[in-house]
Amino acid sequence: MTVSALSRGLWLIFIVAVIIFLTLPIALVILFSFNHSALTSFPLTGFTLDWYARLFANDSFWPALWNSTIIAVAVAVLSVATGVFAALALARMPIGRAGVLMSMLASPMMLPALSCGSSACRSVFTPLFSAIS
Amino acid sequence: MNMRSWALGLLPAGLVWVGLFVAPLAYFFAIGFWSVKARIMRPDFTIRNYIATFTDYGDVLASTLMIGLIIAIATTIVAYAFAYAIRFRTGRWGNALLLITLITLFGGYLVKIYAWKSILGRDGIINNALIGMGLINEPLTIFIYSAGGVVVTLTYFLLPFAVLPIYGSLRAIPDDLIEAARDLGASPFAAARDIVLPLCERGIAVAFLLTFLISVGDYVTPRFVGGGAAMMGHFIETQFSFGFNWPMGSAMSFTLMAVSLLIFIVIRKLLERAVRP
Repeated sequence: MTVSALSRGLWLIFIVAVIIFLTLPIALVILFSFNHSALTSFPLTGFTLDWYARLFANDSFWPALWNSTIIAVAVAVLSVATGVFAALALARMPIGRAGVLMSMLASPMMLPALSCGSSACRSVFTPLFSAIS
Repeated sequence: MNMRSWALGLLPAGLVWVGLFVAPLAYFFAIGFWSVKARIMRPDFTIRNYIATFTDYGDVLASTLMIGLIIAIATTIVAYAFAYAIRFRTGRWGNALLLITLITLFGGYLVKIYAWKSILGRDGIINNALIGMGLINEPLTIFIYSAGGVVVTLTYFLLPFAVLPIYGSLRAIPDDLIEAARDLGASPFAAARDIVLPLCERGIAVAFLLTFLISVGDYVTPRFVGGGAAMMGHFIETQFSFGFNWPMGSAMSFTLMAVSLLIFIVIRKLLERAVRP
């Protein structure tokens, strides 16, 4: 085997491994949502839509979904509008000054979980953050 | 329109930044010097909270920073290699890989934690598989409720966050530059080390800072897969809730923030020196 074939093989193994690492956990959650047993373990015990039926029948599910939707839409509209105005302004500034201002405006991104330790940010940032993620 | 009226566009973002970020942070920084008597905090100027942070929580602080460093280093290295593969090694498949990375960003934070709980947990997939193969009789609890569980879960959560800034700076490197280096006789490895790596140092630094600060400040993941305690965020949160000691919580937050930034500055300097061709 040549060196380049070996390196291509190693890259392929690495890429496949990362993709499995990134997607498998979420795929498992989806898979087990159709599984009969309440336990998340193999072997699968049979296909069911029962969990979804129970979720939709749950009285607190629909208001919660509605609240999430309102918050998500409001956050998206407000942040995109604010962001567009800021980006238009930054694009017309000297590049150095724009860079500094942009790092300043982006700084809350660096500290969400950190500042969420403090209660003000727990009331202000956590709802924003979980709506995004 | 002239420059000045365009600058007004920054006003909404600026107001949000000052009102929702700088002001609360400044308020909590001030509170960090206040004192608490009978669960009521009163204005004061004492550094007792900061001293107590180091005397009472020094070991937690150290282990938190240690776990954060492990997560940040692991995530940044994997993210760099993956971003490098997307940019240089996969051709037209690169966009598909990028799309997969972006899609996993949309998965909810708690869903991801529960996913890992179902993999690593007592009744989880790994334990059941090991029992099924007859390798162990009793479920092992070393996968979950340990620092290892936190490292795996947060690395998984933060990997897309780290890939994007690194990929962004890799994409800004023109192909001609690498071709020029190769034409002048540089081996592929030398070109990667002397051209690519120094030019995306900024992206690597951003990825590292993001993953380090988020993992050091996290208090939800340790609670679900880390057996609750052992990380600073958990104790900070307790001060604000059951502890009724906001000044102590503030002092702990700002200590953690300051020490983390200090560590980042040192690592950034080391990184700059290491990648210089």
